[in-house]
Amino acid sequence: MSRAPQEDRPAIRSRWRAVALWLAVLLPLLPCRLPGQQDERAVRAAFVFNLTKYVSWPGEHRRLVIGVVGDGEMGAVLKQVLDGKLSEGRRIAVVQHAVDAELNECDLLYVNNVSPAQLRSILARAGKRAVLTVGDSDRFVRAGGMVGLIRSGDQIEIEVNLQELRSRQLNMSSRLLNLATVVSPAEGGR
Amino acid sequence: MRPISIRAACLLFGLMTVLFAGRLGAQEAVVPDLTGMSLEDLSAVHLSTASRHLEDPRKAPTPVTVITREEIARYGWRTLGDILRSVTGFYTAYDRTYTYAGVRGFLQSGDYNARILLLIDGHRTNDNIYDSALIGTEFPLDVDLIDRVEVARGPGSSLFGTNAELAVVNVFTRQPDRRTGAETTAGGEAFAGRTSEVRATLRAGRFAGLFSGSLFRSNGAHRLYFPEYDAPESNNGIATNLDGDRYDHAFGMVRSGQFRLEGLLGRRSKIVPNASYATIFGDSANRSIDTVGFLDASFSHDFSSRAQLDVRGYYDAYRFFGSYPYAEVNGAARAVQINDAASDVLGLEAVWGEKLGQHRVVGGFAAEHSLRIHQRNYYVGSAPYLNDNRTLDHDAFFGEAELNPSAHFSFNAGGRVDWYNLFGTNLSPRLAAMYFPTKATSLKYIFSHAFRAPDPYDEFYVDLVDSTASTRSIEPESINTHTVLLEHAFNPRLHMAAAGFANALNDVIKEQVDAEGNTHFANQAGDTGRGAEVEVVAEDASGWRARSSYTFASTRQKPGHARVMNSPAHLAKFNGVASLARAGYVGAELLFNGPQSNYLGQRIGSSFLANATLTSRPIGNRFEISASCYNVFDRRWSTPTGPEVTAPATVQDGRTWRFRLTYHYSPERKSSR
Repeated sequence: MSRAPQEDRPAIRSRWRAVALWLAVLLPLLPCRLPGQQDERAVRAAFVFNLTKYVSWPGEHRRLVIGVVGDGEMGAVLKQVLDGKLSEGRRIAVVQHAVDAELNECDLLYVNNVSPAQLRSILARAGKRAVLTVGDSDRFVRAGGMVGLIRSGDQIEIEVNLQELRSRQLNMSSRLLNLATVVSPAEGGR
Repeated sequence: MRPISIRAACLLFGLMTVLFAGRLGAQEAVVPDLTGMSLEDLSAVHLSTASRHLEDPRKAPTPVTVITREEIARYGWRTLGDILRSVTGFYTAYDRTYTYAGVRGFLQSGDYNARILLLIDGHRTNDNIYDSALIGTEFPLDVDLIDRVEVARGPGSSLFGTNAELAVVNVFTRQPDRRTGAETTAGGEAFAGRTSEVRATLRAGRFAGLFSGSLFRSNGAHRLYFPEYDAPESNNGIATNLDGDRYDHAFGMVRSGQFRLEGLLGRRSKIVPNASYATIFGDSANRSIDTVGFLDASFSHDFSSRAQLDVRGYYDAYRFFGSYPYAEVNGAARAVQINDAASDVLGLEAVWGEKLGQHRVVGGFAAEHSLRIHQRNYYVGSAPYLNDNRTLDHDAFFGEAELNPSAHFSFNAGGRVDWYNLFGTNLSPRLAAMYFPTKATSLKYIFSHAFRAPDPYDEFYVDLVDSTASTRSIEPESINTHTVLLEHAFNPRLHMAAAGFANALNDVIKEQVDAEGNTHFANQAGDTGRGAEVEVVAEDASGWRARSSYTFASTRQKPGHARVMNSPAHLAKFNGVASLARAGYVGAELLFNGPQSNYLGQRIGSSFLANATLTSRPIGNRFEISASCYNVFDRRWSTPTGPEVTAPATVQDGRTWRFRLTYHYSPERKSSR
């Protein structure tokens, strides 16, 4: 590689200096927002929205409350994507980090990133009310949850515990059931 | 005012970047709203198993073309080679034994696509003796089992290691269907070609399995004329019933959650009609049999939504059997030479991917140990004159960082260190700087260095007696590539990508012929290539879709600046699908290759190929029918051959056709609903 002649070097230096200065000054001024990414969290949020459309709750509801429990990111994601949205004429309200009092208000409870012991406790606290429990861990439906949004390879699969759903007078449309894997009580116990 | 020094400016730039990165890291990422998607569409969304490598397609540090399963059906593509030749910058050649792919002006005779890395579900499928990427009927997977093909043009050694010099082709298989069910396909095509395929999905609890088996039998062209052999003693150059092709494929995948066990076995046998390697013309003993198999167990674990670990363990097996009839050998009028080769390899790979704020890092290692690398050459009834047994080891570490200091800039730096017991270490870096002036536009500069390690065939194969064997030592060849890439979406349905590229291939491993006429491999001065390509993709809500591209490539030898062989300067392609209302679809493909020269410098004329396919919509939810016509205008066209074939070019098929009927079976759901 040939070197630049000595007399050209100051010019090159000043050009590099200008580039470095330009970058140093301009970079922090640029907008911070990243372009949207179609990621797994967004897909999960969209699935939850579809659950609100294809599951029917007993009685009349003008408002649909989604409670989120657990340490994962889904609370913030559901709040951002679904809060205030209309589903079948009902306004969705998302409650992050739902505590006991708020659990009683929930129509849908999303369980995100909890230990098995916490999961048992949460499901017990949901009681026998008509609350649709949704989780994303592999063992969620087996542990007594109603709908699992399970990552299988590079896709999300829906698992449904129909017995649990029906015991709370919740009905799921055939369109949703057609896409779901129905976990029977026998399978649920494996 | 005292001018700021370069060092101070760089320090300031670095400091501001770090501070800015930290500020971004504390922010919540904006998650897109996909609630407008239907349940069915959501169920079909791929979260991409390669997400750690290509989290956001806009930030891929290489041009990527994705071919979907639907396109494969609509265009009637029969082999992976058919799929690849529709991709921008790709072209293929077929010598009636194997299909070869060229990329951006590089297609070297004498090897078997060793400069392209071929993956199936992320599993390397270049074999471990010849490094061959098998893409014709020798590809061990049914095309109907392909869900999509991701083709990354340009080097990829910084993540994937050897062979990823010109492109990385990652074939993703279909996943088990959502219900237990089966489908069977029967096909008939020209040259008495017939296909039977059965695929079944079985589900039991959380386990889902996809299993497939298929047979393909083709008599091949009944008569092929080779003017080079036009003499009475060689049947006037006519090869009759010497183009037979057959394969058997088996594939299985079982998955449960994030665990997957996958295996395949493919065996393909081809009669060689053109007397390659100076064998007896018209002798049906001239044939090649490739058998490829692997078993791959992988597990992916999400430690959180931002950190993921993938672990893969595998066993690879490859067998080659080639028989070559020769005249006048050791006093015998005819003797059949057998080349056989076998490799058995165990490997382990782990990849950690994590998002740090808006940034992303990936790191991993790979280790491979060959239980057996065996090459043997002998004449039937004689002792082997090559009987080479090896065990080879290969380890690698790799990492990549994607730095996203703002919405407008992204930087990607990565590298991989490979160690081979055969020749030592090799470093493959890649650097990319990307600028996004708007959400619809990106401008990227990418520098990458990739390599191809000498394989056991390069190193240890000999024809008869190799006088150079004791002094031979082949070094890895390498490629340096600079790419400038502009991508723009005019609207959600109209995309454009344009790229300029400059390649420098160094220390190319090429086949040499010694004074006795025997061949071996050695490093040679390389080639350089420059060019540009543009691709436009458009689709319409009514079902119309089109992809069109043009590539210019000027590839020259380093000493002498002569044009290299098998390198058309111009490639133009068009693929379009139109919806025929309720009847189905019509897919049309137009492929133009400019003139090129073969290894002797002889000119091979340009070719224009038109293919068309009609596919029905599902009939009664059970049946699907497709009909294809290839080379619709019956144009005569040829592709260059390598020195192993006497003919300077291989004449390709004229107008041919194919019909397929698929039947879907789905048992009634046993439901307690």
